[in-house]
Amino acid sequence: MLNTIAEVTKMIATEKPLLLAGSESALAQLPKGNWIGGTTSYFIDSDGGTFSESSIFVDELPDFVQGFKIAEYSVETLPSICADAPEKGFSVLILPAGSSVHTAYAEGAPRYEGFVLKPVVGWVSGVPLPEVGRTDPKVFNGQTGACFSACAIAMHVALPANKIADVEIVNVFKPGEGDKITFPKAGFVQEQCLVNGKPMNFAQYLAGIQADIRLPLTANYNGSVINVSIQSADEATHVVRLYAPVFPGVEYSFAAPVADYVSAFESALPAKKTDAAFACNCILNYMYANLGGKSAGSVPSMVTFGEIAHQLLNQTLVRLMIHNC
Amino acid sequence: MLPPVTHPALRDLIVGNKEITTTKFGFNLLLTNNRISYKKNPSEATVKQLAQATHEFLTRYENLYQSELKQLFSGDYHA
Repeated sequence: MLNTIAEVTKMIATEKPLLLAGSESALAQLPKGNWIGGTTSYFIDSDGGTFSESSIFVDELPDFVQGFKIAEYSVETLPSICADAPEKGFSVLILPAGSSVHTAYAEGAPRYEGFVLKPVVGWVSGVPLPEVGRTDPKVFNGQTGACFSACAIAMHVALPANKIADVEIVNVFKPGEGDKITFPKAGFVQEQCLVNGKPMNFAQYLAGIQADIRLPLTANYNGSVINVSIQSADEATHVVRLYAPVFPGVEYSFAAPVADYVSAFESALPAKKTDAAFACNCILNYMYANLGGKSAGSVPSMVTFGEIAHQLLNQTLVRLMIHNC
Repeated sequence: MLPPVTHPALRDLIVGNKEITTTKFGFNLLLTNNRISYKKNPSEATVKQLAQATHEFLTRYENLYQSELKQLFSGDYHA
């Protein structure tokens, strides 16, 4: 939920573990405590999509959590994130957008020891859109007060024996009927691809089909659809930049257009809307679907520059559910 | 209780000879990444390593994955 700085300051005083999202200036005003934070100024609250430099979105972890540990990660230490997580629990990871840890996690997470076995959720921190490229997104370690643009921050959370964490995604996009695209190498930056098996320059291909790059590339992971959004396509340099990496061995196609995002989102939400322990939604959904002032379902969330549901996703609502077992 | 990690259904799942229908994201991610890994390195050592990881995952999530476990192991799985 969105709160004022004064309200969050009171919540921190209770010593409950908190996940916070807000502008750099808002987060920097908070006292030290049991929290981690990442920068964003976009949110979806009960009133709909909101931009605020002074409000802070708070995810308060449930009372039944058994313990937590805050850890900072560099490119070198990030591969141990799942190994560092408790045997029973989950981890929340925040990566500053455009940083080397962002790239390292996005490209490397599927090879980390314990990947998927130990749930990792989280988000990519960002800045107001006019500030992109001029201001570095940040993450905060509330226990020390330290703020980073090149390190990741994580909260490892232990659950009692009768609880288990599971990660859900809500994706309004479905693969379209168009070309099948594969890539020879993993990464955020791509030049060459195969379109229906035929080698092509990806940027030229996109120009040739006049691709609507507001629609993500989609990959079908055994029925779960994973999006990769396109940041830019430069025909002159033949380079396409993506908001998440593509992977070799995975077949992609452009998503089918979504006529009414809000309705599509509502119908994509599970019928049983059990409250999520954590949720985040994508800035691209916020922008392309003009969510400012629209409710976009009944899932309050921070709006982020990439979503983590085990691996980095785009244009997806991520929810962490905690079940009895 | 799950059958042992050596159960042939796990091998079939990893190499793509058996399909499981599920909406559970974690399982779909694991399954797809397993198949990508196997395609890249189609050895018995890969199958053994991926079967171990999959068995560990399903053991951990047994209570949430009843339908998937029944599909995978058929009559060899008893809740």
